[in-house]
Amino acid sequence: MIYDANMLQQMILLFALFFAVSLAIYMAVRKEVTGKKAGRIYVGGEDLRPDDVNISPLDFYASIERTLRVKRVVSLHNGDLSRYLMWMIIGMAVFMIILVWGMV
Amino acid sequence: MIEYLIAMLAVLLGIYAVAFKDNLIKKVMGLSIMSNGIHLFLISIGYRTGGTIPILKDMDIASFAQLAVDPLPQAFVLTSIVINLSITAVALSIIILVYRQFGTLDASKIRELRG
Amino acid sequence: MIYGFYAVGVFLASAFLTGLVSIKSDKYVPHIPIAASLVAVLLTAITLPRVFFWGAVRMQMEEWVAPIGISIVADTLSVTLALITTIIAFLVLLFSYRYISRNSAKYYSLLSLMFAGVLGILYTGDIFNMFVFFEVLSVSSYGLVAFYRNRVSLEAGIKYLIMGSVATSMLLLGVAMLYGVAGTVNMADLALKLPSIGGIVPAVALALIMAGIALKAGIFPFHAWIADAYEGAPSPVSAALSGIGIKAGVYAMLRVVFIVFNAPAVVLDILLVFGVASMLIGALLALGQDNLKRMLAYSSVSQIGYIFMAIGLGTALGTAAGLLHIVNHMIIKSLLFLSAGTVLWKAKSTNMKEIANTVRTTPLMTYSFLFGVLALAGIPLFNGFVSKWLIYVASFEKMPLLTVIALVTSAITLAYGLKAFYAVFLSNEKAGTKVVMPLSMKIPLVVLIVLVIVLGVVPQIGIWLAEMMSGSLDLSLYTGVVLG
Repeated sequence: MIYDANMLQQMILLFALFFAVSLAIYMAVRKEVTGKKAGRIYVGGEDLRPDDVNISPLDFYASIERTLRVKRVVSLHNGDLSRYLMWMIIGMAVFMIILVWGMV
Repeated sequence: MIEYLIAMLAVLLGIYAVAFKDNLIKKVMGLSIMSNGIHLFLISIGYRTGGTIPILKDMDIASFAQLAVDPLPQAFVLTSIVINLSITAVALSIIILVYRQFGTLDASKIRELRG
Repeated sequence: MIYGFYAVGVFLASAFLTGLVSIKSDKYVPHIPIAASLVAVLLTAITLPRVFFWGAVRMQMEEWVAPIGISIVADTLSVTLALITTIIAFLVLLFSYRYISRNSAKYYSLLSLMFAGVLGILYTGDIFNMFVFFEVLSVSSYGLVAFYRNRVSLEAGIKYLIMGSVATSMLLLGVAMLYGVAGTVNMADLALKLPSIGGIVPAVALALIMAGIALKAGIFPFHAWIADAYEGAPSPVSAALSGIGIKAGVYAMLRVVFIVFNAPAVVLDILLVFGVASMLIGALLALGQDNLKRMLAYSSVSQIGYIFMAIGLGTALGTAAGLLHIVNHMIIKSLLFLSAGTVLWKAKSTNMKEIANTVRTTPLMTYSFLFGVLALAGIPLFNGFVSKWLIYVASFEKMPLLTVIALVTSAITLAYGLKAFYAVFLSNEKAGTKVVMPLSMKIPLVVLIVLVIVLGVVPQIGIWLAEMMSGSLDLSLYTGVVLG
């Protein structure tokens, strides 16, 4: 055995136990929170309507660009076939350079 | 030696055509040129100077084995020609439908799928 | 006598017969490939015990002696992947029974050809034969991606076609170079001959072959076609392409790297680096998607990154973890795409918000997608946890930073999965038309859910499989089987 499967099995069973216990607690407590309240989501101090949840991709990419200081994330996937082929060729060239340097 | 150079040249020209030409038909032509270059490369590998065709006829086995060119790359090339034929057929039929839908064959204008 | 290999012939025959039968009437067209895939499952199931308990088998085509002629090799890795492939093939074909309403003969023919191609890649021991089956797989998938002749599918199809053809031409060039220096295309024979042939040619050939296969496998930077192709293809085809087609690329890469070239450290490092890059880039791109199918496509890129990172670690545990993740991901991704398909069946677009507004989901749809997402993120009780845990442990031994990156990516995976789940299945519960799923769509979902849960709650199965499979990547074992 390269890895102890039984330990993994025990971890999984432990998780199942915790999950079952918490599920039981939830089911028991749920009756006190009846009706309409069970369906509303309460996040960050105010109710959240479903429409607010979907993040628009453009905003998201802009936030990533700001955090990672990587420019042009969106423009790299703009759908231009020639650009995609350029990546492929560059990737192939990188493979070739690394392999020739490493294997010769 | 010169066959290999011409084969590599054809492959490079093919890649240039596929990557840098905007018209879809020119890209498919580039695919064709590239595959022709590879086929030439393959056949040249099997070539033997002064050799004969690899079909046994009026010769004994020993001298035939010394004279004949290698038939295996030729088999590879036959297979590959058929494969490229089917790729070209599928490509051209998709291009016909693309033209009907988009009205253009310019690859830089067919860019609706983004992200 | 490798019965599993005849599954290739069965699928080829089914492709031909489907076309033939459709001339008369369209009524019995779907039944032929479904029956063929059941036969294929049976054939593979017969081969599996022999290979697992007796050792790997080799068969020569047309009785030519190895290394001349084409060798067909069935070892544990091939047979395990082939079994999952044929099972998923059956489920995808069954799902398509009601999903595809027009042009069904062409669809089933192409899909049968695609499965024939994948099974051929899995069983062959000859690198040129692998190229041929690669092309069979690729060309039929070009047709399937462009199947709906609308703007999205056609654009995706032509782009995939051009990129894929360039890649397979590079693959052929690499194979040609290998033949030029070694004089053989049999993988075991190449493995024996290549170490004594040094120099630049094998390195360049390996680079070309890797670049060609990497496109099919979907690693960064060769991943650009995946999102478009999976968006444009019909949902069962996306399930087949992502569950099986990509894995054929991964398998081919494994065979070339481990058997033909005997896994030099440089190559493993390349796989590691590009794997980590794919992992992160795929996950980040999936997070920003509005479109359900594109999100699942980038998620595939990310999971393939996990697999390559695990294999690139070079340790026994890493390789086993990667192989197990291949098997797990085949099941998970097929489940996700098929359950997305049930929702998309009657929806007008793939935008998540619009789906939520037009389709009212049933509990089975909801649970199948939820289980798929949880399994993908590596939550315990599902099969993803077993392989991901092994990946975490294996990467921790080599470099703890990799474990951190893997965990972060898993968190991002959970994030985009739950976001999609919430957006499509939970919001707007009262809106939209009710969808009645036919039995042919319910069975695949249930089977896949059962597999996900069973493999997750009994990890011993997965770990045993992983150990058996990693024995196949041993070079001396392979050459012993093939060359006698």
